[in-house]
Amino acid sequence: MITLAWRVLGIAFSLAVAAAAALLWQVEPQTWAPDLSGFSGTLYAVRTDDLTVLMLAIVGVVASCVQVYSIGYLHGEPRTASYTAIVTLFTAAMVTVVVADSLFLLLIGWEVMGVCSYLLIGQYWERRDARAGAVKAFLMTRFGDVGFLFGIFVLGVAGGSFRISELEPSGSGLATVGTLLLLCGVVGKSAQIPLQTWLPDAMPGPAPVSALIHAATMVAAGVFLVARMFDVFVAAPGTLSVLAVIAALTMVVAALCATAAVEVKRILAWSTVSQLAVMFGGLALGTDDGRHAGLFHLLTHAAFKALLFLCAGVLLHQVGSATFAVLRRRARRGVLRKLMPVTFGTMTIGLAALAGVPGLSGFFSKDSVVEAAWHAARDGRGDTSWPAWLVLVAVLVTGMLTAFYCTRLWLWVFFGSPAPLGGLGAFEEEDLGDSSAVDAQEQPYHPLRDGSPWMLAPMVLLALATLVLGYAEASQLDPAVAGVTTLALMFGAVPAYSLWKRGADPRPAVLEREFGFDAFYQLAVVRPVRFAAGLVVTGDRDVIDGWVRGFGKAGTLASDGFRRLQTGNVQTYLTAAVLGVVALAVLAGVIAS
Amino acid sequence: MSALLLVLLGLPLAGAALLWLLPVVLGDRIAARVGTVVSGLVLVGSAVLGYRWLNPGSPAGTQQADSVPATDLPVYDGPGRAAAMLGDTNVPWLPALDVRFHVGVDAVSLPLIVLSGLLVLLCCVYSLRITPQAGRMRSLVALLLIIETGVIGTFSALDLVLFFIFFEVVLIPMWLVIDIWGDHHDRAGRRLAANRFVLMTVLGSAVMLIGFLLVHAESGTFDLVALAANPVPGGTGVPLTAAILIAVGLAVKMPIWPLHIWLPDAHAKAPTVGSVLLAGLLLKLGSYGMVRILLPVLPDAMVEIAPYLAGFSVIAIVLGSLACLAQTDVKRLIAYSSVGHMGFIGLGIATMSAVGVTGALFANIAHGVITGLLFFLAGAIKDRHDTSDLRLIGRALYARLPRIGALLTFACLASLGLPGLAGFWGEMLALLGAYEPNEALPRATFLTLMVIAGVGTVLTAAYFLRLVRNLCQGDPAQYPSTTFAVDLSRIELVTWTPLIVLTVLLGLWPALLIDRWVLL
Amino acid sequence: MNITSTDWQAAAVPLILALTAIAVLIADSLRPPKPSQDDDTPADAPGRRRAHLVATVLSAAGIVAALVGTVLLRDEQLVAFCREAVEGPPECSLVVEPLTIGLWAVIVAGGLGVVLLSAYGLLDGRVPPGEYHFLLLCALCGGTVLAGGRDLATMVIALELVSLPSFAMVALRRDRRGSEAAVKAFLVSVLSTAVMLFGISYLYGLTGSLHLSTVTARLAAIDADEQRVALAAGLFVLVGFGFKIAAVPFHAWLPDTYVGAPVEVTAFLAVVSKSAGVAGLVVVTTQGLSTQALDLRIAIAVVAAVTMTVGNLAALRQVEAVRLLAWSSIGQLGFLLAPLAANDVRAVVAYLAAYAVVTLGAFGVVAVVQRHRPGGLLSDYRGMVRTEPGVGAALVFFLVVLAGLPPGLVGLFTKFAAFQAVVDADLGWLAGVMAVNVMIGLAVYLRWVAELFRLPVDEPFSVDVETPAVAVIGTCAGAAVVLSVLPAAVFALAG
Repeated sequence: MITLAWRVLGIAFSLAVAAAAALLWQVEPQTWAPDLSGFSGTLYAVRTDDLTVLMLAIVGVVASCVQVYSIGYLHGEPRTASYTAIVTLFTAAMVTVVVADSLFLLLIGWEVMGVCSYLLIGQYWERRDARAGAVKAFLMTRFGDVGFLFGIFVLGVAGGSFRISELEPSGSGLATVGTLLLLCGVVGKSAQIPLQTWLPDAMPGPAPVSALIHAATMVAAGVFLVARMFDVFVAAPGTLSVLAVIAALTMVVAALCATAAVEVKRILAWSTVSQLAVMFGGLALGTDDGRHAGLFHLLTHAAFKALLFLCAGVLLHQVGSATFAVLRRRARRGVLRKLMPVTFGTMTIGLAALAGVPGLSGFFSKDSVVEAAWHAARDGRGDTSWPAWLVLVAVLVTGMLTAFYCTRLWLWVFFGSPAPLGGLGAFEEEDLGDSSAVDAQEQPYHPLRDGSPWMLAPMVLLALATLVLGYAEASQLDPAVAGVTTLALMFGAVPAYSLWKRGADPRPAVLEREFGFDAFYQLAVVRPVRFAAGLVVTGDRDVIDGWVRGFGKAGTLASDGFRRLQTGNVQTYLTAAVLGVVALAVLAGVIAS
Repeated sequence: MSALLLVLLGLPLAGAALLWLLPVVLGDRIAARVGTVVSGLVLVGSAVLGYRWLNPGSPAGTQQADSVPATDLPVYDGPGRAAAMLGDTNVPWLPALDVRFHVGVDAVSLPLIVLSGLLVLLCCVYSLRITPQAGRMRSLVALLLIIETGVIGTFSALDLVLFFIFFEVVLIPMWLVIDIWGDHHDRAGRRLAANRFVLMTVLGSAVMLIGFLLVHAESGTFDLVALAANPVPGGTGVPLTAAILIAVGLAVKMPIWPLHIWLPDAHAKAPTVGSVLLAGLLLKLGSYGMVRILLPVLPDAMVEIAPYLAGFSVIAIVLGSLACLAQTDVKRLIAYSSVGHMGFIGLGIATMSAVGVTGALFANIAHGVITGLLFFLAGAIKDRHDTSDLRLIGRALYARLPRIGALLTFACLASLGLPGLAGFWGEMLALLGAYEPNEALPRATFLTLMVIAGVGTVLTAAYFLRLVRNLCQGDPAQYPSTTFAVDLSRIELVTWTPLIVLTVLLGLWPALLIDRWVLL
Repeated sequence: MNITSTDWQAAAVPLILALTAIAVLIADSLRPPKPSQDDDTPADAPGRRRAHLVATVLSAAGIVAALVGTVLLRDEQLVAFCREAVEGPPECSLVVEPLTIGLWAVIVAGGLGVVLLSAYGLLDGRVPPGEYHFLLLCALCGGTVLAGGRDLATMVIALELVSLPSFAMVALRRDRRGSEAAVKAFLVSVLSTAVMLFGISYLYGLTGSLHLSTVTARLAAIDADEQRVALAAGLFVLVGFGFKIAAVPFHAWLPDTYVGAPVEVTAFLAVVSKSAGVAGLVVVTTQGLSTQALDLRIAIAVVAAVTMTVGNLAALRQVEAVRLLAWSSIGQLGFLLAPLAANDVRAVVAYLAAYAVVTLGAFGVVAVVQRHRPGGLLSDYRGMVRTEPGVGAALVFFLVVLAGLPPGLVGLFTKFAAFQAVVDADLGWLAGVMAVNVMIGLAVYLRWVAELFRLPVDEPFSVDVETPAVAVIGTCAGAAVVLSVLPAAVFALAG
């Protein structure tokens, strides 16, 4: 009952957001603040402009899809009411971020999103990895948010106002510092290097939540923020260069990690990281069409990444696991393809878009980024153009890698490998972990079916979006750039195909360890903190408390001492008294002289 | 108005006297009801005062305006300067020693008074159904009421000696509460905790008294209004000594590391209502004293010691959080978290900037509400499992007590300073104050401290998430649901709702208080 | 010496007391001859009762008269036994001034309390009432003279007049413990008197006078070497009083004596005799020996610090009520000396008054309880707040006042005054010691309070409290409460 109420509320809210976007479309930018004196005047300031509308649209649509999809996905599970409520709150928080004009209001939404993601990732709190992933996600983003808060201080105090619309971009050093601090929060929220590792670990959460996080809300907020405060960032070229470096590094590293992951959602998570980096690359160019391209990519990415996660959700839901090995064992010889036609079709579209197959939305948006980067690199003079070059190269490389892992994912999941098996790292029963082999025995295959209509409908919708969205910008497509990216696509797809053909899937150890970031953090942060905690407790107990206990002990000892002096023997008393007299006399002499 | 304030001070005492006049049996039966009525009246009265203060006509509303320094000293000109007071009563009490009975409230003290009324009322309501094993409700409620008088008196005293007296009023009652109604498993432990609490505090207040006397020796008056009008000049010699002594005395109460050592035991051993009042109100006496006395009365000397105060506060933030990470007892953990939060308050005060002090004051209220809620929840969990040891309670509380688990998560999130909930604003403003402290203070130092404190917030989040993870989450199969446990009884719901509402309200509408103290 | 002028009003109060003492003695001697020697055969019980009643009424009446006299004299400035000085104003041996009045009020009121406390029923059966009251009145008389005396000879005599009856009273029960306690006190007292006379003789040698004002005047004129002698002499005089008031290190006799004597006598020692000693000390230091030439402040301060620390620490672990009170009274004395070191008479008298009131009350409760629980252990008081709410609450209040915490505001204010005096006199270190001792003292009294608040374990004893005791306890409690609300009264004592 409550669940139903929340579902209705949630869907209604999401649709309302979408509707709001429709209403606000083409409305000229404006800000509004309640006519209050003091702090409340600034706190509740909101605004609307194209960016707001765009984000509202994305959030509304994706959230609606997720809400509907969840009905099917969480069917028959406990805690659906709280789940739906938190998803709604999540959406509301993102909306707050999008419409906020006051930095504090934005911060509220920003952090509430963090909490909602924490709660949703921990939805299945019975599972250890879910608990760990949730905590990790919250702490890493929180760490970034400290910098974010300080950034707000710096900019707000320097600009004399905590309203974004009143922050005039000043080329001062303070601006650089402030934007760099803001960047910490952005990096944390959008899972860029060095705070990228929480996103893949957030996968134990329900698939629709992943869709929401990766497409519309959490991670998109980082990109949104840079776009929102673009003027301020542009005024601080140093920050933009840093952002460019981070983006370039992240997109390549994440893509590499994706090529070695063996679980569908994990691959998608890494791809999100790298695609976000692509968007940041566009923004980091500091040019208007760079910003435009980044946002365009944000839009298309929202569509196809949400779609992909929903598809992965279907696999997870129907098959029970999304690891390559299990998938292939349950559905060998590509039976998956035949039993789940819709999932197969939509996922194909999504992967193609992600890989940037010409004609699909991802293709256009990625091209626009490349194009913007190329222009910036070409027009930029000398020392100012290197970030653009960097971004350009990185995006192309990333395109190649993306194509590689998309093809790999597609082939290994939906098609049986034609070659005689046993190739390097191939996924067959013999090289499974025993555990999965065991549970393969104990639980009989339930007949594979496609997901319920609740789940399929949103997927179809998103697939359509993925197909058409790109043509919004298709007009100004530079054929040269298109050619280059297509070439990159080929360079990526062909090796994947040939490897699959030979039934081999080489996964370098360094990639499987995902460059050992986690191990490093474990060593450099977690262990020391634990140690320090133990140290502090010991210190409190043995040092400070030791002093207190010592004083108490001294008091009792002295007390016993005096009692023992109280012998009841009058001679002792008199002796003490006489000694006292002498002592006083001596004291008197001391005083006198 | 002045009559009303006096009533607020006298009513709880009258209630206590009435209870003790009742015969034991009858008294024990109706004690909680009497307490509820009395504290309810007090809350209403303080709310009336609060209304007077909220509407702009009242003098306190314009208190910010006329707080112009009367001398050319670098007078601290933020909230806390006793200027135009509401409900001012000023009669000589002990002329021989220049002691006056001078009480009054303003924008700084009123929220705390309302909070006192609320928390005591909630404790009494809670006691209607849920009582400690020791029984003896008559005396317990009476002592709670006496504590209320002491707290309200401290918050409204405008004479240093009067402040000192009210400051001491709460000691023996709280000592008795811990000693008699404390953890019934550990008689020796609660005795030790109670004694340590009362002895450390009394030593601190004696030291503070010496500081007051030095102030008097310098300025010739104990009256806070007069002292705020023309403070004690000079940042060396006697004023500095006085400031240090007063700061130390208040730091014991607050408490600020390393004087916090009495706090974990006291909170852990005290009964639920005791912990709530201890954390919600008694700790505030220290921070309020700093805002009310140190800043306005000894500005120059405060400039000298502020960096050290800030330093110790930040140490408290970090070490308190670290200590929480290693706690195995839920009540001890929350107690240590108080150390961290009071550290933020100390930092805000030490910035000596209007923003920072506003943050400290806001954090006072927020910490009172949130930690009160946390201790109520901890008490509920402890009552249900008959222990507060995390290892014995087991995990997967979500499965056994879903509502209480959810509320605990909510309270933890509020306490770790989630924006949109009450806990955030105070700490944010304190950090903002540290970003631009008073001109007289070394900015670089405070920037460093601000960064460390920021890291401290992450640690805070870490230990609260650890608590949620180890207590609420986990595999329910290993920790079967206990049959006796009832989830969220009605009385608990009634008692906690106001705190939850306040947490959200103050989180979403901080201007309600902030605008009273400083125009940001 | 030829007495020039004497205002008999000034001598009224001591005279009343002395005459009452004689009257009591006569009345007692008029008792019908006893069949047997020892008093406490049941056969003669009615006779004892009657005698006791007579003695009590007589002495009470006398003391009340003295009290009335004190009140009537409160605004006067009177002198008695004066003689022309060689230079300057006439030297008077007995002076009535605000300080005197305050001290008299404390001493006489304390005496009244003791009399009521030892009224019929409470007093140990083996103590002869007539002698008891006679001695008590003599000591009171001595105390008043001590408070009013202004020359050293008078004061020494008065001091002995206070002391010797005290020892007799301690021994009056004629049992081993009593006599042993008395002997201890007596020996120590002899030594103290010797030392004091030694010091006095030096002072006389230096100044050629025994009168305090003259001594003061002449001490200002002596040269450096003599000053050193004068300092030692002054110290010895102080030491003499130090024995009487049991300041550390001259305190050792006190706990044994307190425990050895009957509770009523202990109350007398703790209230009247100690007040008298303090009175003498105050007079001597403030009127005579505190000059630039002879600065004893530091010595007094040191003694005060040591005294309060030792007393409180030793009291920390006592398990007997009387011993705890004995040690803590030493600690209280330290606090009392602190303002004296700062020459703040008002604070001293106020502290003395508050101390006298609550100590009397506390001993009253102890006396009541010990009649039912002769052990006199702290654990005997368990649960009294529940079983005997009136007496229990009163005792709690007395202890809280002694600790100086709310609600015992009179104790708090007097401690506060002591702190203020010390701080204003720039004795920072002493203030620090006092702060620490506030904590230790609190620890001492809280142990007892905790026992009172525990739930009674064994059969809850209900005391059939005698009316005189109730009167005393109630009066003390009431006085303490009133003084807590209106502390100004205490500080008005010494003008």
